[in-house]
Amino acid sequence: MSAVAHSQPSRSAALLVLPAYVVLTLCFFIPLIWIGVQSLTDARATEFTLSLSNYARFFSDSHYVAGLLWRTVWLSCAATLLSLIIGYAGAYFVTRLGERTQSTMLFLVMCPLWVNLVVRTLSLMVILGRDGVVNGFLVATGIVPKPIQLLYNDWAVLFGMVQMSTPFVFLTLYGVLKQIPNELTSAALTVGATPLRAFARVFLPLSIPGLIAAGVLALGINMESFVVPILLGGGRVTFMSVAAYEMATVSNNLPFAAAIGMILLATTFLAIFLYQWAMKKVFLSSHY
Amino acid sequence: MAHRNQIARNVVLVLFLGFLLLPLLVLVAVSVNPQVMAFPPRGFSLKWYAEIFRKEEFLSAAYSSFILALATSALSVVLGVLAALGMRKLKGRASGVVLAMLQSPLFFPAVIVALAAFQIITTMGIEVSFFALLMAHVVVTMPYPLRNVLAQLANFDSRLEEAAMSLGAKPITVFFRITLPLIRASVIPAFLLVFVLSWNNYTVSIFLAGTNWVTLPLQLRAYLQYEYEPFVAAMSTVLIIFSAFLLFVSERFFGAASRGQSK
Repeated sequence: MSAVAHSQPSRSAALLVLPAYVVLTLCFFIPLIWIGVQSLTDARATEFTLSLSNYARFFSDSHYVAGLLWRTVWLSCAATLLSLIIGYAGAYFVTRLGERTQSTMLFLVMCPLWVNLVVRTLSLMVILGRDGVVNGFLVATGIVPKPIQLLYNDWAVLFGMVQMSTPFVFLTLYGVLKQIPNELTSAALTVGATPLRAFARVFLPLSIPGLIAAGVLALGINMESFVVPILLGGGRVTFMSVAAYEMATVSNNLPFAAAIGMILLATTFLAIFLYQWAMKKVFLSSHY
Repeated sequence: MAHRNQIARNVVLVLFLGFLLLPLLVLVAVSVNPQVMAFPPRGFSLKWYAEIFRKEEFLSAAYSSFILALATSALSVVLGVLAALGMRKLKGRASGVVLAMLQSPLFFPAVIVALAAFQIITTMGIEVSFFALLMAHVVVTMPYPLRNVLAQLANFDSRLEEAAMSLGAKPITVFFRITLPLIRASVIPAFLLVFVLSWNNYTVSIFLAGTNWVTLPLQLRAYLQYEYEPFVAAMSTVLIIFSAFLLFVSERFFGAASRGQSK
């Protein structure tokens, strides 16, 4: 190692990487360590002492545990599951189109990704609002007598999160599903498997790496949702990221905001780890 | 049988695209309403588009966003390209760790990056500023050019550079005459991608924008809190068209090289 490190190419390599490293260290690593430390300080204490008081406060209050953390977790998991299903269906059928149509489809799916999140969320408000498309349909068909409240609840936030994470799931899965040779499923059909069985025993297991990657991506995106819960939740649906923001800027309680941030970070990593572990356990074990 | 499968396929695909795109199309349609946000539109008017040019705060927010996105892409791409060129020469076990650290902002929620930056600035007693905002944008976007360029460098023949070098070219000449043209296909799409990520960013900006550098997404959201009229739909339509145009340019001219999907 040291022999390599002192050689000429490695020194110029280090010089090239250095600027990025300095920027990340000053603007990311140090601040990150700092909020870790800050989360262990007491906002009311006059001198610097380490304590777990912020975490104790969080975990002893059901408003925070049930109302905030649990809501963030269950909405993120549900949104991830739904976006995996929708994205899988989309990607599966797109790979069955002609090459030219496939690239058009890719372009159309990527379009929303390049559009501002506030604009996309606003478009869902227009769909779900009192004079929105859904209410218009429900009233016109006589299912409900007058417009109902569809916005500003958990379901609206869930819908928004699914809508936001589906394109990512699609693009990740598309790349993987495209690699699976058609012949494999055909072979299973030839030897007498029903289409459903051929899909479940041949195609699906081959697509598991894609489902794992897409799920990890979607979980990460959903757990850090910010704009969607603010706009579609209308202040009534609190979310970890939003709570951290309000605690830091409105309430000005930096240590507690740091603790909320740390808990969100730990929860995100834990959720991603558990998801990968469970997927491998269930699908990539010996019976396939 | 095959025919039925095709119908099923098309139905699923239409539903899928509808789910993703219909809300945006409805928003575009709503923008031509003369009075209220309604769908289908009640009448036709383009007056809300004219309104955009009369709203001082939106024009200045667009300017702020544009400058920020431009500066972010320039800085982020330069740092990313340099790091990618360095990573190529780095060998051994250490290189994996270095790369993981350089890409780490991708694996952290953006809200954590923003929160951390905000807290340390506030604790040190510094006012949030354009510079802080810019650096936070650079942190969350830099992994993309790094990844795009690294992918392109993977099938790059370094003998081309060695040949130039052996003919007496200076390293700087080699970079501009040989290396850069060869990786251009990944640098320009990375620039566009970072521009769009910064231009659209909300989570990082809300923490660090302060009052003197309000970006367009922040301005739009602030406006939405008090007003819900077709103006926001018209403004959104302009933004949708702008985004679609940038994506088209990126896809049309750089194709697969640009298909680094962003988080």
